[in-house]
Amino acid sequence: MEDGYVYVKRTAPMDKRQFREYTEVCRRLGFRFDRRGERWVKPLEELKTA
Amino acid sequence: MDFDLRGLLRRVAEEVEAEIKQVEKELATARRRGGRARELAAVRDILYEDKWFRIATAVYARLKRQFAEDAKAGELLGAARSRLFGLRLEVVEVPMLKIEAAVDQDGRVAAVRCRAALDLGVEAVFEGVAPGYRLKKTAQTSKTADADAAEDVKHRDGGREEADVERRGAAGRGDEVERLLEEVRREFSGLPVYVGWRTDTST
Repeated sequence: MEDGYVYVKRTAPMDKRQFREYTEVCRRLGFRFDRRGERWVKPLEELKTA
Repeated sequence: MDFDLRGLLRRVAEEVEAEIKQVEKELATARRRGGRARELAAVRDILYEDKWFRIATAVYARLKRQFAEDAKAGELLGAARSRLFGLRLEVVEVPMLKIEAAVDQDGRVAAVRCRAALDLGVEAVFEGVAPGYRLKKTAQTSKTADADAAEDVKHRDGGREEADVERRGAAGRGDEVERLLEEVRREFSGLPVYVGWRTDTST
């Protein structure tokens, strides 16, 4: 397994319901919000062991 | 129509930033006294992420309420660019948002174009003319601006194409990484998101 991280970001405007669902899924999967990169990230290694 | 674009942007940004500051304050208090710090930190992160999206959307909606949509907007903006008819071009640019306005000698905004890069690869464009404004001898027939701008936001979705590129690229990176990415994508099923992978860890 290569080192690195997985990231998630939006590709289109979302309504309130979609945005809530989006952030809930990010948190549930253990992603953290990277303010500098403006995206949710999670180390690949953590994802592998989850 | 006398319309202060910079003032509008400043007011909207202040509203959004005030909300973030309030959450920061509550978070600091929760950390000192113990409490729902984790939950507040998550809310704060979301507000930071959504900041420019919300500002762009609010500015766009308010502009639509102030200006009638008209094909002549481009013509007036073009005139302002070449400084004909006494119009000057005023440009306000901030992250995710660019507003161009044709302003006459009295400081009244005659036409406006708002480009809101609402998210990755997505752009909303609004062009409008101040009702009753005349370009040289051509009368502008104004239409009633739609109050609910959010429904009329035109955008193109670049997500699908990007995701396809990602899938093709992932093919050479090993089945395990691709399997993990697919699992994550499944969790976001139906939502317009891009799930990617990078090797550098400097986030």
